[in-house]
Parts: sequence; C-alpha cells; structure tokens
Amino acid sequence: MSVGERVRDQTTPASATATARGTKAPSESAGQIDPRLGRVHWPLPSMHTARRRSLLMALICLPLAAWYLSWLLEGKRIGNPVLFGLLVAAEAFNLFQAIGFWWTCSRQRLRGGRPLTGEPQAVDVLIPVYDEPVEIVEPTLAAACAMRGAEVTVWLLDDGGRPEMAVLAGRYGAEYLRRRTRIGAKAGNLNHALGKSSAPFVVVLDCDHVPHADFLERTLGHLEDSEVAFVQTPQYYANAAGSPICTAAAAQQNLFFGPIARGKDGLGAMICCGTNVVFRREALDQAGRFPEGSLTEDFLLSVRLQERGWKSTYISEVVASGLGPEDMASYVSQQQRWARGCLSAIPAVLRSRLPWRARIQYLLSATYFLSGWTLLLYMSLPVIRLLFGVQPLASITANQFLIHFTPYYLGALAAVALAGSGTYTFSAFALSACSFWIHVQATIGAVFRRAARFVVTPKHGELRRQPKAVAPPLAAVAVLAAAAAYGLARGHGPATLNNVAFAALHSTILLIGAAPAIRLRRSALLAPDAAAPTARRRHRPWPKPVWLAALGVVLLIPVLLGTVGTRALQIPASLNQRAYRSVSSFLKEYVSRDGRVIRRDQGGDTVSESQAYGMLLTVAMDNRARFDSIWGWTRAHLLEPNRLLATRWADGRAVSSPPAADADLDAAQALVLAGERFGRSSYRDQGVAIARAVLANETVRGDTRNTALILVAGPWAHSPAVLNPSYFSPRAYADLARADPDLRWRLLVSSSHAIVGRLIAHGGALPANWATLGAAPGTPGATTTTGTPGTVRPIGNPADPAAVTQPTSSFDAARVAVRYAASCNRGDRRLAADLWPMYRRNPGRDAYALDGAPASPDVHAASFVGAAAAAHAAGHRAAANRLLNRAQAQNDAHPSYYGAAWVALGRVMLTTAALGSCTS
Amino acid sequence: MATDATPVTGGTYVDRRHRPPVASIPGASALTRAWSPSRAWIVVGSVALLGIVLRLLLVRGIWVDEAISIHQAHMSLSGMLHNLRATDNHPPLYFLILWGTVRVLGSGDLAVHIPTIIAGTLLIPAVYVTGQELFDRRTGVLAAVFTAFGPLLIWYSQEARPYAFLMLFATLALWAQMKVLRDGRLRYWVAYGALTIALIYTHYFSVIPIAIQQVAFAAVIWHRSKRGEPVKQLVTHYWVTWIAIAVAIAPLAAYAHQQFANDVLTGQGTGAPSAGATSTGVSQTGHPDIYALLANFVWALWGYHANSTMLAIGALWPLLMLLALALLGRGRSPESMLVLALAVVPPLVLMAIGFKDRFLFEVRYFSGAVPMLMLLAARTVVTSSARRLPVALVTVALLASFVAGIGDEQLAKSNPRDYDFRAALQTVHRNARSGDTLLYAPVYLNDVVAYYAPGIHSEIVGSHTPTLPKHGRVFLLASFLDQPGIASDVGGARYALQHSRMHLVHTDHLEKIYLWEYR
Repeated sequence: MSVGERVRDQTTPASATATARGTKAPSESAGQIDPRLGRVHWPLPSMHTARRRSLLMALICLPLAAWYLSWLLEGKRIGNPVLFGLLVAAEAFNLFQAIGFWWTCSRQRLRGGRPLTGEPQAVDVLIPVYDEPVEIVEPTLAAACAMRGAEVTVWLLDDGGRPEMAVLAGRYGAEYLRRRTRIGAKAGNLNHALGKSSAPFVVVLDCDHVPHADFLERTLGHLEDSEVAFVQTPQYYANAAGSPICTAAAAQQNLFFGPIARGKDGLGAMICCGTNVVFRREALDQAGRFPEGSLTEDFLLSVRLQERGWKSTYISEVVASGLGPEDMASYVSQQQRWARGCLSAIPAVLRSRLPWRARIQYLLSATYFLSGWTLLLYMSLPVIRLLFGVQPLASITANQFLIHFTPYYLGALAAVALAGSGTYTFSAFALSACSFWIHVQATIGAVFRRAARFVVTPKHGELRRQPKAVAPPLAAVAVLAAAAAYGLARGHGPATLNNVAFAALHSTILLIGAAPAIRLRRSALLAPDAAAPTARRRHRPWPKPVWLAALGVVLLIPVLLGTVGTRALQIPASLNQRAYRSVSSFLKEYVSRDGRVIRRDQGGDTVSESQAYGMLLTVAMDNRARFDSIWGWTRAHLLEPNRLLATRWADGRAVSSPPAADADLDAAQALVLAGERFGRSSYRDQGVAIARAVLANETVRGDTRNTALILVAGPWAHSPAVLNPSYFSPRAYADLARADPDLRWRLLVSSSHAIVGRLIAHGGALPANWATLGAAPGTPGATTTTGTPGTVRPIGNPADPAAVTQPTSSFDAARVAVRYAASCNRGDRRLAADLWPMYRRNPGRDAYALDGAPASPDVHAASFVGAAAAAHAAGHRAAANRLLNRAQAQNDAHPSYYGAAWVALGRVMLTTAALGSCTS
Repeated sequence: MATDATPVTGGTYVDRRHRPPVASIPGASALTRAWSPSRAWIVVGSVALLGIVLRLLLVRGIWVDEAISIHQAHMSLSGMLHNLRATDNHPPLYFLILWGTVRVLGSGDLAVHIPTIIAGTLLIPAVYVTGQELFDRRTGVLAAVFTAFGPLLIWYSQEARPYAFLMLFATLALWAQMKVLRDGRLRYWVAYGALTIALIYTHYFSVIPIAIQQVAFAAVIWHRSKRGEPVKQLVTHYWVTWIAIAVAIAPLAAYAHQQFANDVLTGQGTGAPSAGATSTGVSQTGHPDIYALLANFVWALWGYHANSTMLAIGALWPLLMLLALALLGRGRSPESMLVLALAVVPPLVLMAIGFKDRFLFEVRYFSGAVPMLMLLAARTVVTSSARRLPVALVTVALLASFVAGIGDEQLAKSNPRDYDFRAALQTVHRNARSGDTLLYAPVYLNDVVAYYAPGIHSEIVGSHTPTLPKHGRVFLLASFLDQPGIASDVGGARYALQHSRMHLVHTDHLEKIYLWEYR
C-alpha cells in the first residue's frame, strides 16, 4: 500500500506487572491467550497523501453527484409521486452523508502522541464494570496499574457488586468502589467515582480495553493545552481475527477511527467515544459530568463540553487494545445502544450553541443511524414494482439511469475504499446493511420516547447459532425472494428481470451480512465454558415480539404508501405525470362507460380513428378494463366482415363510410400491444387479423424499388392511389411485423420512408395532407393507375386527385412528425427532425402552405404537438417540452377531441416508453 | 492488510491461532498445496484436447467476411496483398497464413478454418502459462479450463478471420512481458519483440494492449529506480527491442496509410458488412452506451445470443453492483492491475472511438481482452475462498454458464451472428439446373455465393432492376432485410418477378435468410 505503516510493538503490561510481583500472568492464569496482549497492527497514512487523496475524490465525486441528482430531479422522471418523493429523500440523505464524509476526510489531521513536558501529574483511571467476567477485567486492571508517566490511581467501579471484583482490585492495589443503586448506568457509575476521586485528569477505560504502558505518556502532553477537555484515542479490536462478525465490525471501526476521526479532529469536532479517553476534571465538572439520561453519555458530553468552548483532541495512535463484538447478538446490542443514543441526541445537537462546523459534524454522526431507512426503501422498491407494477421513476431507460448513476455510485465506493486505505471491506458493508432494522427500531424508539436500558455489550462470543439476532434481515430476504418469484411467475420481461436482479442484490448482501449468525463458527478466542451462554442470555436484547411487530409495520409503510398512492392516482409505471394527466383527461372527457370515444365537439359521433386512439391510450395507461370496453365497443359496432373498421358511427349505427387505413393500423397496433401487455393472445390474434386486412385491402403495389408496396388511405384509394402521409406509422409497422412476420411490413417501412422523404424534400417542404402517385395531369407519362415511377405528388383534394387544388399541410399532417419522431429507426427520426426548421418559425398553426408559410391565423393543439415532435427528433428536448405544454394550454383553452387525443398521444409517444421501447 | 495481527516475538501470544494457515483448514483448497507441473500439464493437455474437439465439432458455414478472406486467399500472393491494400483494412499476417493454408489444404469449410482452430486451441496452454507466470499454477489451470469452454473463444476459433490469432498473440505477449520483467534473459526479449510484431501485423487495434504494456514497463522501471535497483540493463534491452520492432513494422506504415485512405474515401468503415448483426451492441441513438458496454461484456464471456436473450441478461445489471461492492477491501497486486487494464482499457478506448464510427465498438475488435477476462475470472474464483468447496462450486457454476452459452450460441437459430448461408445456397446448388439464375441481395453476399454456389449464373439485386432470364428458374436469396435499403431492393425484385411471367413456387425462410424460387 502507498501509505506508511507504523507498527507498534506492545509488550504485555499485565505480564510485566505480574512478573514484578512474582505472580502468574493473568492471561495465563485464565488458561487462555488474550489477544489484547498481542502486537498492534494499525496502518497510518501520510497526512498529506490522505488529505490530497480525499480532496481529489471529493472533487471528482461532487460533480458526479450533481450530474446524477440533476437528472433525477427533472420533472418528467416522476413516476409514482409517493415513491419518487421517498426516493429523492433517501438520495438526498445519502448525499448529505456522502458530502459530509468527503468533507471530513479532506480535513484529516494526523496527530501523534505527546508526552508531558512538566512534572508527572496525578491521574485517576476509572474502569466501570457490571457483569463482565474476571478474565476480561483482569488484564485491563493489571495494565492500568502498570501505566507509566503519571501518578496513577486505578478505580474499579463495580456496579455488579461482586466480591470477586473486590478481590481482584485488592490483588492489583486498585481502589474498589460499589454503589447502593445503579442509577444512571455507566454514566452514573462514573459520576459516582468522580465524586470520590480528585486527580486533575481522569482516564475512562471500558473493562475490556487494555491500556498500553505508554498510554499516559502518549496522551497527557496534549492536555498541557489548557483549552483541551479530552484526548480521545482509537478503539482497537485486538480480536478482529477471532470471528467474522468481529472482523467486519473492526473494519467499520477502522473507517471511523481512521479517516473520519482524523477528519473530525482536523475540524475541531472530535467526539468522545466513551473509552480510551483522558479528561480534564475541570472540564467535566463544568459540563456537569457525564449525562445520566442518555445511552450514549459520551456523545452528549462531547456536545456539552464543546458548547462551553472546550476543545477536543484525537491522537491516531493505538494506545489501548480492546475486544470487539464476537457474535451477532453482541453486535446487535452494541449497535442498538449507539443508534438509540445518537438518534436521541439529535435534538440536543440542533439546539446546541456549537460552531456550525462542529454542529454539522455531530449531526453527521448522529444521523448516520438513519441510513437503515434508506436501505429499507431501496429494498422495498423492487418488491413494490414486482407486486404492484409501480415504480418511482418514469420516462427512463436503463441506459440513461446507468449513465447517470454508475459514475456516482462507483465514485462514492472508490472514495470509501481510498479513504479507508482498503480497510473497509465488503463484509463490513454487508454487516452494516444487515443492521438496517436496528436503525428503524431506534428511530421509532427515539421518536416515541420509549424507555431504553443501558445494555453492556457482551464480551464473549456465543457458541451457537443466533438466528433471532438476524430475524428481520432474514424476513426481508424472504419478502424479496417471494416478490422475485411472484414477478418471475408473471413474466420474464427485462423490467421484471431487472427488479428481480435488484431483489437478488439486496438478498445477497443481507445474507452475507447475516451468515455469521446462522453458520456455526466457534470463536477461537476466549471461548467461554459451556454454561456461560445460558447464564448471560438474559442480558441479550433479543428482538421482542413488539419490536418485531413494529418493524413489520415499518416494513409495510413504503409498500402501503406506494399502493395507496398508486391506487389514488392510478399512475402506471410507464407514464410520467404529465402524460398521465393528458391521457386520463382524454379518457375522462371523451370516452363513455361502454367504451365509445365520443367526438363531443363534432356532433357527438364516433370514428374508427377515435376508437383506435382510445385503445392506444388505454394500453399506455396499462388499463386493461378500459381497453376491454373500448375494443369491445369497437368490435361490436365498427368491425366489418373484412376485418377493417367502418369509419364513422352516428345516430346508433355505423354510417356507410369506407375504412381509413390509419384507424385500422392504429387499432391493429393497439391490439398487438395489448396482447403483449396484458398477456392475452386473443388480442394479438385479432390485431394480426386487422393487420392482414390492411395489407390485403389498403396497400397498392408501387413500381419502383423504393415503393414496392404502398399504404394508401383506404380500400377506396387504390386507383388512382391516394395517400395520406400522416397515416404512415413506422412504429405500427414494426409492432405488427413482430406479431406477424411478413416481409410486406418491411416494404411498407421502406416505401413510407421514401414517400415522406420525397414530400418533405429534406426539410424543404411540409408534408401535404394528401398525395398521389404520378405526375400532374398533362405531364408526359402521367397515368391513372399507380402512377409514374418514382413520382409522388401532393394534392389538395383526395376525392379528385386530378383536380387543380392547392395542397396544404394542416394539423392532420402534423401527425407525420409525431409518428416519425417516435420511430425506432434513426433515418425516420431524421425525417421528423428535418421538419423542425419549418415548424420552428410559426409553430402550432391550423394550416400551412407547403413551403411553411402559415395558411391560417388560428392555432391548433395537434399542430403544436407536431412541432414538438419535430423539435424532439432534432434533439431540442426543452423546446419540445415547451411546445407540448403549449399544446396542452391550447387544448385547455379550446378543448377539442382531436387536440386532446394528440396532446395525450404526443406525450405518450414522445416522452414515455408506454407504447413499448425501441429495444423491446 | 491492516487488521492482520502478527505474532509477538518470543511472546506467549501467537495470533496465528485465530487465522490458521489455509492448508490446515479441513477441506481447504490447494491454495498452498501447489500443483506439480506435471499434474498441471496433464490437466491443461486434457483440456486442450477437449477444446480442439469442441472447436472441430462445431464448425460453422462460411460467413460474409470469411468469404471475402477466402476469395482474397485464392488470388496470387501479390494480387492478394494488393487487394488487401486497396479494399481491406486489416494487416496482412493472417491473410498470408490463410493464403498458405488454401494452397496446401484447399478451401473446404474445415480447411479454411484450420489455422484459427489451431490458434484457438493453442490459446489454452498459452493462457495457462500466462496465468501461472502472473499468479500461480492453479490460476493458470483454471484460466485454461475457462478458455477451452469460453463461447466467444470457440466462436472465433471457427471463423476464418484474424481474431483467434489476435487473442493468442496478445496473451503470449503478456507472458513474454512477465518473463522479461522477472527473468530478463535475451530469449524472452526476442519472444516479446516477435510477439509484438506479430500482434501489430495481425490487427491494428492491438496497439491498445501494446500501449498498456508499455505503461507497465514504464511503471516497473520507475518503481525499481525509486527503490534504488539497477534498471540500466532493462532500459537498454527495452529500447533495443523497440528499435527492432520499429524496423519490422516500418513496411506496414505505408500499407496501413493506404488502407486508411481508401477506407475514408469509400466511407466503408471497418467491418461494416457484418455490422448489421450487432443490433444490441449499439443503442438506438447510434452511439455506444452503457447497455452496449454490457452487451459486449456478456458477449466476451458468454458468446453471442439472440437479442431478446441479450436484453434479458442486460437487465441483470444490478448484480454488477454486487461485484463492485465485493471489491471493497480486496488486495490488488500489480499483476492483477495489469491484467485488469488489458481487459478494460481496450473496450473503453473502442467505446470512445465508437462515437466516431459506431461499428468499431464491438467485441471482436478488442478480442485480445477476452483471454484477460478469463485470467481475471480464474483469479477471482481461486481467491474467492480459502476452502475447496466454495471454489469448486463457483468454478462449476461458471463452467455450466459457459456450456449453456456455447449451446445457445452455436445451436439456437436466433443467434444474430449465425447466418446459415451454407444451407440456403446448398439448396440452390442442389436444385439448380443449367439456365437457372440466382438473384441475391445485398451485394456483399457475392463471395459467399461464389463459395457455395459456384457455376450458377448469379446476379446482384441492387439499384437497378435485374435482367430476368428468358428460360429457367429464378432463385432469389435475400438477407439483412432489417435494413430498409436492402428490403426495398428485394421488394422491387419480387415485384418485378411477380409482374413477369414468373410464379412463386417455393419459399424457404432460414431465420435471417429468405430464399424464394420462381418458375
């Protein structure tokens, strides 16, 4: 590694003391080998390297975070608003923590030990004990008595009132104190001892942290600065190799007591961590000693001291070796205490009069224990998507998400890896993730001010499996697995597989975190006798039924919110808010309960085109019931024996009117999509039947290689061939070709592209409403059948193509831009883009001359949608959004069936993948 | 790393108790129980035998690009070189090998594939020796096993194109570099120089891994000089080797320049004819994107599959987040970093180039990175656990996925790379009589048609309406119909046929190939 490693050899103080007194070393007398007496391995980076590296990572990660969040916060990303809000909140919280981490690490200060320069001082060493075994306490006591560099008085503060502790204290010449009551738990015990002792400096050691002989020599020098209240030193888990839990916990500690603690020191906001710390008595007295109402008395004490202007100091050297939690129950117990204590302290931090930097640092530390909520949300999202089909984001592709999210994600991981110099491991992360429920539990406890008890972290690993300690994560895994199985049973589409993969990701992390509690692996260290676990079990805070029930409720919250929000709003996953509003508004205004789409602004009749629009929009809405009703009505009233749709229905019957190719094509497409979306092959079959009827009745053979088969306006438009370019629909061709592989669809793709290309002359003209094949009458080679090879001629009157009528491009023709902008073919989209310069000059007009000059002073919503499509295809997304909004506003001011339909279809086709993505 | 405790000197405490030596763990893998060289070579030899059997069993028909290469190999040597210079965009080494092969073995399906089958099989021991040199024997053996079963490696062992040689030379060049840095004997410098020259003469994009290797050389020299170790000999040998390489590749400069100029002039682009089959490798925007990167990664490890399969596999990208997390806290050796760079940088560079020419971002152009991925996979598996069972399970799971990949790639007709021109044209060849005509589109099927249907009168369906024969039948062969231009050419031809005296009598649809018979 690039950082320098400082490895301190630590002789065994207890052994030395025992040898001096002619007694047996405590570690040997216990019949065990104590890792706390071993050599310390604690890598320290060069300060400049660490700071530079962290600063660099911060500078890289910040723009990446901004890149991701700015993309995420675009309005059109909103899928389910409730889930979206929760996701944004979670991401904001994580970003707050991440920025705090980068900031902290970039201000690292590497402070070494400093010996006293003056006369040795008197120091009281306080070692609170409660129910810890003698073999744990004895090395600590022995080593404390052997500390050099001061006049040391060691106090064994026994809240357990056990005679063997008194004997132990006597053996090493330590003072022994016991209380009549146990008020205030550890803090009360310490305060009691402070009242009995008087030295100007006070060392607090947990009974499992063995101080090195030079502990005071390395720390007291820093207290020569009269403004320093305490000197904190690292908590080093000497038994890190003893069990997987302890290895992972040690990796977490290494990150905190490494770059984070050094950074807090650099910012003057180091927190007292409850052990391995030297206090100035005067400061303690001023702060009112240890707060007895908190589970994390050390954290609150730090706040009070710094509020009073005292400074804190952190030295990066290990001067005491301790024991980390060896089993899951111990770890859970420790985390529950820290989480509850820190979260309860948040109001105190907010109310405090700390400098802003210190206040943010304290908030960062305290709010870290809210991170379990974010994990809970991230786990819930695939479950909600798989069960209910709703998701927080809309209008996204996996590619967009990956482009924006991956750099941020990898950058954040790299920052952690580099800041920790590789000490933070995957198992540490997994164990942390596995503790998500503790954070949730602690938050609920803190919010509802439920009474909490100070629980001493057990010092021995248990020799049996501890499934109860990981019951919540295992329950979460079960829910994720069940949701994945349910999703896979329903379908194997990419969206389902993606969410199954997310479920698998979370499950794997949780299982890896929980594995040590399930797998029986005996700790090699300090293995207690077989009876011990039973005796200690009553102290373990197993998750109680009430807590499990509360957790269950909490787990359900996002699910319920998502479900309720979804049901209230009926927003499908694939639509964004605006598209949803437009579609639902159209369906509400123009579709009757029996499934008839009524042209209320045109005499209340119904046309096949309107039914087809309704079918497409209900597919986009994922609303099978509405689709059923619209298609049911259409089939009953418009479907002709030749499988084409009668054009118009009025006064209770289909009016004799020939079919129109666009309605037939759109209806066939809607049926095929509905078949795929709703899993009903009968829809697909009916769509294919209509599609085949289109091919058979509504196409003519062209006679050049580019127009081998041409879609005409209807069965009536064969001779002379009358075309409506706005009927050409590349997406419909593609969807129908997928359902019915027929080469003729490819020929239609090609001929439609060629004809539209010729009509718009590479952006030199707008598409005419109508066209025919062949040259103008009187031109040599003119024909009345399928036209002169290669010639397409705009016409003004489809009923009489030969008549000399000025062709125009109205809001009908604007559909050309929409349909081609929504195509999956780049060349098609380029055609739509070619129209943008023409539409851009006067967008939204009712009608234009083919050269782009407005032919009407009026505007129409569908025309705005056409302009939006052209802008969208040309890559001007902001302009496209503006024009869609203008279309919406126009239609709100002057409602029309056609305008409403195309505003909705435009939004769906241009801004969502609700009618299928190009890769599906 | 940081949390490792070490024994105190002469002390009562020995921390090794907590982390016993791997070999003493019951059921531990042989991380410390090293394989003997003979045992390893027996395994590698067996695997290589299996590898060559697989490669021989799964020989495919000729593909468009291969047909071009075979057509060129039938020319005179000077004619081929001239043709390559004027119309192709590859260096000549592989084509010279193919030219010799055609002269010796003929141009049957198997014969033209022999050089790449040999190169693909030699890659197996090459990966073994490289893995052994970089890491240890166990990693080498496992990497060799993965190489034998790697679907993409099998695929390109069966294609008469330069990619199998690119992979072989790239792997051996890495081995030679490690030998040079660790041993330094002259023979290894010669080997390194020769392999680098071979790499450049095989594919122009090999300059990317070669450049990465030079960065590694520079890093080693810098570190050694920083540590005060002598580097003079290393530097001297390095420069002498590079002078030799420069002299050897000098003739290629003019050749490459002309190819590049022709390429720009014609707007042909490297490999454009076959790029139609890469639909999931490039986004709808026409630019490479992260999904394309994922697709290339999947291709590299599991071979080519149907677009729907690729979409399904691509949707599993969240599992890669797990991989990123699993890397937290893992040690990184310089050897691993070098292999990682050789596996990752070439695709990234080509991805960047892909923004200019989207067809260039495709796994075959960085196929030299695929053996590196196999080495990394083997290293990851070997170091994933100290116990034998988890390592064995992961190995079996990965191998099973490779076997599934081979099955889908080679047998599923939905593989977008698998165009069975052989079957279609053999049908024509079988049924055609004198006076019959074969029409085909697109134009670049001409060499495939010439290879499989020699002697049949054939005509391209293109920008003009083909001349229809007065007598005999007409076969219309079409492929790549997802490209509108080709579809419209074929549509035009069909229209003309239907409006002539011809009647459609038979249609064959072989997945991506259409064959119509008119009488």
